[in-house]
Amino acid sequence: MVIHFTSSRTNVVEDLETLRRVMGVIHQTGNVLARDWMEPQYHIDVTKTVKEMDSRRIYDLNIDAIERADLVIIETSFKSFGSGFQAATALTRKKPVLLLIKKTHVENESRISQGANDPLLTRKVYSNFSELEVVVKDFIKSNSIKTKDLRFNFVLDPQLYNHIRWKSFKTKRTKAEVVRELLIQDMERDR
Amino acid sequence: MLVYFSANARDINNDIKSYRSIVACVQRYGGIMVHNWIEIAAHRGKMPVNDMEWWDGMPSEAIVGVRDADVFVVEATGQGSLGVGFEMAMALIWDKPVLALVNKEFEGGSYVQGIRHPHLSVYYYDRHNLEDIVRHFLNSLSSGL
Repeated sequence: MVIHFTSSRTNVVEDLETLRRVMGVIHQTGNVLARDWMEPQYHIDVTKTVKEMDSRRIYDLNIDAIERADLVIIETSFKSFGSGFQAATALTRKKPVLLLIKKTHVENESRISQGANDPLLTRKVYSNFSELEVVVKDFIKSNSIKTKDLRFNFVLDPQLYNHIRWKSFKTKRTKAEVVRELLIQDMERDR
Repeated sequence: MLVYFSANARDINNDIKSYRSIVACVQRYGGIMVHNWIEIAAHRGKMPVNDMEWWDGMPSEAIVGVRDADVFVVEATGQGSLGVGFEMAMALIWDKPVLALVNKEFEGGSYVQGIRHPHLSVYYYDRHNLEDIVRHFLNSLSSGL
């Protein structure tokens, strides 16, 4: 899977060990980062010899990363307008989102993290690196999708079945193709 | 015209004057505040930072406020907060016109500077030009609402 992992840009140096732990779990579980920006940001902040990227370019890259990602993970222990913006953007694109916060920072946490009501949003507090890694692994595992096609059965009442059968006959396509097209149209409407 | 104002609530103790100036400008030019949390906090006699009861209801009320408003105004200086970023993203997703105000005197800029959206207007303000910015923005919308 492709995972977009983000956090406060201005706290990358201070929080690098935490961020590296999360990236480590993402890689260990066989997944890839949508955008690998944290190590470069660390070097920009520490060496101060490389110019900061233009903010518009950063925004474009983040939105592109969210579009491509299957999951989004955000470390929210430090204040970040960008993290909140990306969380909302990801949720409206139907991406599962994990908000992580250190137990020591919960008192200063943005309340919307705790109160936002969305079935795709998970918020987890962690006390140490071990807990952090477990939380991230569990989130990835519970949201894993296979890349191959899925098969499942579903029950239709006669009226619905007859409609699909009629549509299949009329359009000379299989019933499965008819249902897939209806789903694709619905997905496009929801975008 | 219903207006939702968003700002970093945890900085309210330091920035209440600035927030109130923005709200006053909005109200002078026809804006009706939706979920005016600044004055709610002020009337309670305490700032919301340590008021857990006030905090608990805020997230859902905030999102409802954003949804119900015609216009979204945000004090977007500096790093901001996750809540403000979340609210602003929702405002743009719901196609609300957004006025983002960034304090000129702050050197750190703002994340909003990088956002490209046809409904987003970013202005750099100080106490001298704030009123003009708000008036111009709201007047430009009035004919369309």
